[in-house]
Amino acid sequence: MSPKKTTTLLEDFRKGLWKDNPVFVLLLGLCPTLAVTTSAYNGLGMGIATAFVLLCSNILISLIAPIVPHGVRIPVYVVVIATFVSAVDMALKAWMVELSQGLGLFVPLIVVNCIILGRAEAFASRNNVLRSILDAIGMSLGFTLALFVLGAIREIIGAGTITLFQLGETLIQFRVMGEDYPGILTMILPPGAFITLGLLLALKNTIQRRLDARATRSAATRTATKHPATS
Amino acid sequence: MKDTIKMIVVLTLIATLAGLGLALMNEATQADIEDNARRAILDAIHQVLPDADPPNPCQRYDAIFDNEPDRDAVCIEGATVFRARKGKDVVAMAMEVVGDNAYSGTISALVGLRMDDGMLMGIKVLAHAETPGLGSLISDCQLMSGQMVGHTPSSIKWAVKKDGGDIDQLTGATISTRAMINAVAKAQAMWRDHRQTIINGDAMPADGGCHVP
Repeated sequence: MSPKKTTTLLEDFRKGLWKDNPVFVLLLGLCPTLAVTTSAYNGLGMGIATAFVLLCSNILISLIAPIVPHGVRIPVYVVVIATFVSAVDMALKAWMVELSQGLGLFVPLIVVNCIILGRAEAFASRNNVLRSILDAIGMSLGFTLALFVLGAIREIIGAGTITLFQLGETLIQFRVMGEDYPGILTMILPPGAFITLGLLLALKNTIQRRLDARATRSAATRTATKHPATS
Repeated sequence: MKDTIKMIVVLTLIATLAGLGLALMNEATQADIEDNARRAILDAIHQVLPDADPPNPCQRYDAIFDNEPDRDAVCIEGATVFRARKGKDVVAMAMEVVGDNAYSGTISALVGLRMDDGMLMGIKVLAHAETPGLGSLISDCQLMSGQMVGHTPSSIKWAVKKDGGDIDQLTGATISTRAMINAVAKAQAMWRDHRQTIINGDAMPADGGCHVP
């Protein structure tokens, strides 16, 4: 292992969840993020489809990276990613029709989701397979979680329900608001996506600032108690 | 020069492998995908041609036909008309129509009509881009289909009340309602003008597309 790598394996996995969350911090892949999150389940489905492609592409790219010349690396990554996306699209159409109808246009759109190319270029091509797998799982979990939260908030306020699963006739759906809740249509429409994302970003930043402040304070106390003479 | 050749070789190799992988995947999924597409068509035809008189569009019934309408279609003026048979008689027809001038683009729907009097047996919206919550209610079985299903071309006036007809426009979505009526009208016109061809015409080959001659 080269000396410049100071991150631990756990850190590779964890950073996608919070510190480098693809949606809330890196603001990558906003097209699927904003467009599909009209219900909690749509967010979940998109997240899982993206996770699969990200995992496959990260594994393969970290394996082939050593033999790919620098000049053609981006075209190679694009070919690899496009292949996996097409394969997922065919698999969904053949074996999970309802899910494929629900996600519709957005599965082919995974190919332009910058998270995947971004992770290929920034992480998988420079790290070994194990780290790339952890990175992919962490990032996809962060992405899926973000989409799920966004979808859940929009669905609860927009329609008063929360849908956890939907395949053909099978539907796992809970009514959160009362039976007479009319729903706020704006939340299901595009403006609702932007408003919710903005509020969530603000919330995330506030929490982060509190955590940072606490970390600085406790670090300061620790230094003070350890070296009382130096100050 | 050496670098250039290496680039060409690597990219070509990877693209070839990717193509090979996709070809295998296509081979593995194609039959299932076609099967799903066919099942979707048959299920939609089943939904618009229920065995009930008058049918309640919010309920599911057995299908009125005992043949395979998607394999027994006639091509009339570029439109595919599915024939539903009970025994040998053509008892009903189903066709995909496009409602023009919807609020956003067009509405495509499958319309089922009874053969002897043109009664609307069912209508199923296949694709639309209307406003969620307003125009999207065209898919509502009670609000939209409920007003139209069970009526023949002459038993009500096929227009929204605003235009002097008998159909209540959906709140805030008069334009979408008009587009739905327009879709039904196209199927009714087909039934009125081509009834004999629909009953007696030759079935088109299973894989043959239907084009305007």
